[in-house]
Amino acid sequence: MSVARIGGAPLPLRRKKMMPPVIRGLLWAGIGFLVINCLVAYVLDPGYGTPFITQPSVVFGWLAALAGWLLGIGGLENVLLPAFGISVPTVEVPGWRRYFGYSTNHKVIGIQYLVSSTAGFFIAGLAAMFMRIQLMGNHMWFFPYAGQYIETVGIHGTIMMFSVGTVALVGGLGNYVIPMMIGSNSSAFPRMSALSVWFVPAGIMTVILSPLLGQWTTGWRGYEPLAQNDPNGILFYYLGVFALTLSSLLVSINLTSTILFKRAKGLTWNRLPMYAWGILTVSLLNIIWLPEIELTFVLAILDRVVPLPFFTAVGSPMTYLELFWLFGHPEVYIIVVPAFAIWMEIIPVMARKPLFAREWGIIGLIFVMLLSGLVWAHHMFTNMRLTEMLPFSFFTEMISIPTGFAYMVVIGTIWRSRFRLTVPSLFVLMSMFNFLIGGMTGVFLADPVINLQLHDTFFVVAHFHFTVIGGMVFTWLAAMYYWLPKFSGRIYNSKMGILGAIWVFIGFDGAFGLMFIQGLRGMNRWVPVYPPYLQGLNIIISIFAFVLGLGFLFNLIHVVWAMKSGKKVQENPWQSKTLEWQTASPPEEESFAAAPVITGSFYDYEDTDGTYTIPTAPDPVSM
Amino acid sequence: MTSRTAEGTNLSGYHVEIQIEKRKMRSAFAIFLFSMSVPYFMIINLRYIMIGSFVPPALDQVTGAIQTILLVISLFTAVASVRRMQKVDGVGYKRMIDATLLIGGIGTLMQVYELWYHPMNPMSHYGESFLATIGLAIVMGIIGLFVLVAGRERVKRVGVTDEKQLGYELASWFWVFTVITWLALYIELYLL
Repeated sequence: MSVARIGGAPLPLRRKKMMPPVIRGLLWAGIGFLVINCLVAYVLDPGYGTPFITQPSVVFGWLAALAGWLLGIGGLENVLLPAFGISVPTVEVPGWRRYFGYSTNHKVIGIQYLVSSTAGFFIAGLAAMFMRIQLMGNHMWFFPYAGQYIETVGIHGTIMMFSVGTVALVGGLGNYVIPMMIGSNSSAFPRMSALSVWFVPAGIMTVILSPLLGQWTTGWRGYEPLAQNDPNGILFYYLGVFALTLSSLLVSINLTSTILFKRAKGLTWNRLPMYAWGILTVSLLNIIWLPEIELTFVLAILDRVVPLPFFTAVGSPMTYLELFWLFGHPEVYIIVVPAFAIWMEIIPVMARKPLFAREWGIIGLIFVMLLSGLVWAHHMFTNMRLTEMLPFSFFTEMISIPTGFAYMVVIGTIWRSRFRLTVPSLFVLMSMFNFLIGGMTGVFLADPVINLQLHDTFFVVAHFHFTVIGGMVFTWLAAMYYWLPKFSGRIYNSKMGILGAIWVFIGFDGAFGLMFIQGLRGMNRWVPVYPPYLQGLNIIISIFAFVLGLGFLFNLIHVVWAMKSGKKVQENPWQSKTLEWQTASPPEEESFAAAPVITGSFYDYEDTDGTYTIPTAPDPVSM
Repeated sequence: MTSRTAEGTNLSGYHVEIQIEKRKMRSAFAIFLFSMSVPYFMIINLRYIMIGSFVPPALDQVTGAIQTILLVISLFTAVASVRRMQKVDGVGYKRMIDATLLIGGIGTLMQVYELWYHPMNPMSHYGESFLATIGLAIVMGIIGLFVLVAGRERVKRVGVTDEKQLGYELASWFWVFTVITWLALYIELYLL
């Protein structure tokens, strides 16, 4: 950029006024798609009759759209051009607008992730409501065609798993809390996170727009060769999930490096907060398994676009299932391991008692991570010999042991404590109760005899919703209420919070508890029409599901209201010892004016000595 | 991770921070490469699941060998560029990157040729494994070349200092990674 000089004095740099980043990103994405799609469809690889959209053109067009989106949102000035040594003066806009653009502040990025996840949660939740409306009748009445129902199931599952389950507690709360928790003012690679967050809305939009290319009936698993029978909507499933998993992969690399290298002086492994341990273990799972599923999806796209016969009837259809579940079961632990860690973070604060058997809690997280890669084939028992099932059955039952360590730590901490039943602790207890049901029914399903009977019934649907919603979403709510004063300096209304907790608990346990019974009575998944004897219970389940949906909406409104208009509180209302609470609430741009030095345990609530010191002058840097 | 403070060394706090930053970058890069090696591990396994160790006689062994030799040569020039960068020699680095881009670029173009004029039916199990595997190598190669070009342009515009040379080094190491992984793929596709 040239600087005009008059009489030797430089004029102030004139910054070109930039279009709002989201608008510019959308515009560039649209232009990118149109240009590349037309180039492929009309010039490079025209199909018979030169249709506007072909399978190759839409894939390359999507890639161009993603690039346009990321560059438009701020990647051009902040990542691409600087990589080539071209510096462009940029200004980070203040106020609310910074949440709608490229920002390297880990707190802004955390909020961006949380908002994206919340939007995904309610979009996917709306899809669930449509499903339950359909299931109130025993014939096709809400959806004209069965395929539309199944596609809605797929969109629901895909968005929930890849933009909520995998993202909210890692990309969202992880980005916001972890750097502060370990005494750092930033994450290790802020520019990477600043860009990775924008993959999430792109991924969600891609999955939502998938019906434009035709229906897909594979559910969140994208099963091949089943997908070969459908039109092309599955392409946007694969591409959307690719974007979402890429975001989580980048977050994991960033947070792992942050925990390894940005810890405050004195924050030894022995003192590392439980949530940081949870993020570290889940990041390792992400770093191994997300590239695996991404390549699987690339191969599935090649199967359709080239085409290649990897997973077709003349290829190896079982290989897709195996590759998918190699990732698919660790995915469950990617979702719940941070939740276990949050239980162990919140409960000692509320119990005012040292964390019981902390080491066993950490060992539990690590062994859940290790065993999660050895249980995947229990999803495929119907396709296996008994001798092949038994090792997977054994490991699936074994994984309940390290999972139980989290329960042991929490219950041991509550035991004979001065426990405070607050909204966060209530949500944690509810989450533990629900995950217990999900976990115990998982042990049943690990048994081949029961598994073969209950495979693909609503019993399985109830089981995994008890683990994912029961384990993760309830904990997410606990975490949002717990860290709400940190986000905003304000606190929720206790009565409204307890009402919200009881509301979703009744709605959730009513809806999904009855699904166990419906499954045992023989109701299959993926079927919008069923025998009349199942209708009565389905109507009741749907009513509970609507109650649950409204309950989540109530909690959202309450949290947003509390952040804006809730009662102001002191900076550390829970008297927590972890470092994020030693900053201002809401935190300043730089969380810590000087690097803190850790001198004790964060969980020793009987210890009157200080856990940390925050020097007034910067300390020698540790390395 | 060992822990020591600036007080125990002759380094100033500023230099210690630079050392920490470099260690962070190297470790994150290692984690990234570990993560990126998973798809290679998968695709090699997939080939043996699909077709065992069959290698078709029609395979163009000469082109495969030449492109591999070129890529191996580019590996050495990339390592040489790292050595130049460690000596804070921006001009030498740029020269070595130019050589890497030229030789590595030709090697990658030959891979594209192999992809385009493949002698086997893509509907065969070897054919699908070959195309997907060489396609993966090409995509990673193009990314590697792009990163090298970025490093080359950056060193031209910004220059190099002792504190800010690691990014250039990592660009070259990424190219080394793509070549080493291609060597594994070459042995798997053409020989075993």
